[in-house]
Amino acid sequence: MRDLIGGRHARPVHLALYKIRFYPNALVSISHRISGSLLAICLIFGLMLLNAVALGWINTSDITQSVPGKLLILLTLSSLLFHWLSGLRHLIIDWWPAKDHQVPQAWFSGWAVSLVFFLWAVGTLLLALALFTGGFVGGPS
Amino acid sequence: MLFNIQRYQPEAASAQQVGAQNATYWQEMTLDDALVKPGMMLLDALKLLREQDPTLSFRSSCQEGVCGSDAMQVNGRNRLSCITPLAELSQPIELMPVPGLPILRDLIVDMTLFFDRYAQANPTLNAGKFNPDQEHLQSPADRAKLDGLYECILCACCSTSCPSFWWHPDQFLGPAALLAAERVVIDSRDIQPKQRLEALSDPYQLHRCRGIQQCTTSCPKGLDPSRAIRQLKHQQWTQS
Amino acid sequence: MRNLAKIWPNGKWSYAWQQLSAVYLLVFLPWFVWTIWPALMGLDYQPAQPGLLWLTSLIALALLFIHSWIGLRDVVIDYCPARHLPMAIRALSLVFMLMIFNITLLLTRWLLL
Repeated sequence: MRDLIGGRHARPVHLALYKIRFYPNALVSISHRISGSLLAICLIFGLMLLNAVALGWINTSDITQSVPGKLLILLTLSSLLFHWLSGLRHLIIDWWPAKDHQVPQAWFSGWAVSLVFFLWAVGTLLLALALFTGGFVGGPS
Repeated sequence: MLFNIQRYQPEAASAQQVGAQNATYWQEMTLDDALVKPGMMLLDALKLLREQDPTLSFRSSCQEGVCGSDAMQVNGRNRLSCITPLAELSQPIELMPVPGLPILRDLIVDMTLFFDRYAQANPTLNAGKFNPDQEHLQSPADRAKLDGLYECILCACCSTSCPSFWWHPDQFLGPAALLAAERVVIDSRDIQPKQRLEALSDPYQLHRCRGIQQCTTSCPKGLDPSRAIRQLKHQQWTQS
Repeated sequence: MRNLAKIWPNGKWSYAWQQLSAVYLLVFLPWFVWTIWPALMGLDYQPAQPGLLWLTSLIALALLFIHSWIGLRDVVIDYCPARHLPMAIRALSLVFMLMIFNITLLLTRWLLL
């Protein structure tokens, strides 16, 4: 819709995002969106690979034992972990058990946001270790 | 004291025939530190700067944070210049018009889209047919529910800091209008809260909100539009 | 709004579906990983209650599609210029229909073999 407004008024509009300060909560929000979009892409890719396996073009081990395959799995699981963590926080805020939905500000603080990113980073690290040093389908590579 | 101000002069822009988006430019302005007095607000500094350059344009009316006319982006945040102490701003102080609305001149934006969405929310109380013999009484508890909802001064700090409002200023009502909508929905005297809530069930007016919280963090009056929006979303299910 | 007046689900329902599917997947995913952990570790694994695992996984799959449909649709509505929006929404629904058709095919094949 933005194009419409510029055209109608022929006026400049300030939307230089790098000049705007975003609060910690906005970072989780956009990351939740990005991880969700990545998950959708991974879903399509995963489905294509599943078809290839079903048709006998490739083996499961071609995916789980190769570096690109492992990277795809890591991307999927890492996005899923972030989406899960930020989604959990989102749901807690949405369903905070107060009559007037008054959520304690601590849930929006930089600390709460950092915790989400910290847990995600640790989880992703562990996933990468598990994927590239053994475990998962097909045993150690 | 150093200022960096984004300027836009429509006459100059049309004379040079530059495209709308390229017509803004940055100007550095300096305010003599001797003129800066303790307790001074940003608006006071702007008025002094306007003495240096009379073309510098900004809105202001009540000058005490009540009328909501002097919202602008100060160092990346939407604030009211009249209640923003100069002392707490880091230099150079970067001033821009509020984001997402067409700029009319310098720090002045066209608020039409913002007020159109406010009108669309229909925030007027409907207490039924007028009857001079009957008062519309309200219990203190019901009156207390309006606290935090009615104090909005319509400065647009919240709506213009909201990404959802940036992308759909013609369809998403925005935090300010939704706060006003909740103010009448929750009012015990209003006779049509269900219809009001039902009218908001399309994908745009209310449900473009993604809980980004920019509105709540930028409200100069300390209100919480994000809470009002959460309430509206829940009331759509609990009140129908 | 004119173009999307009839889109499924509308704002009110998409909020409810999104919350419902999110809560289900939030609980299901850790439970699922816990249950099939031996298989992930490359061990020989037979589920204790295959019926339960099947049922819950199928519900999760359906809700996953609903969750991603609403989520992606919101992304498209937010960032796609208005004049291309009807086309983009149609393309997105086509991709989803293809994916659902494909998954059904794969599942049927797997069950029959």
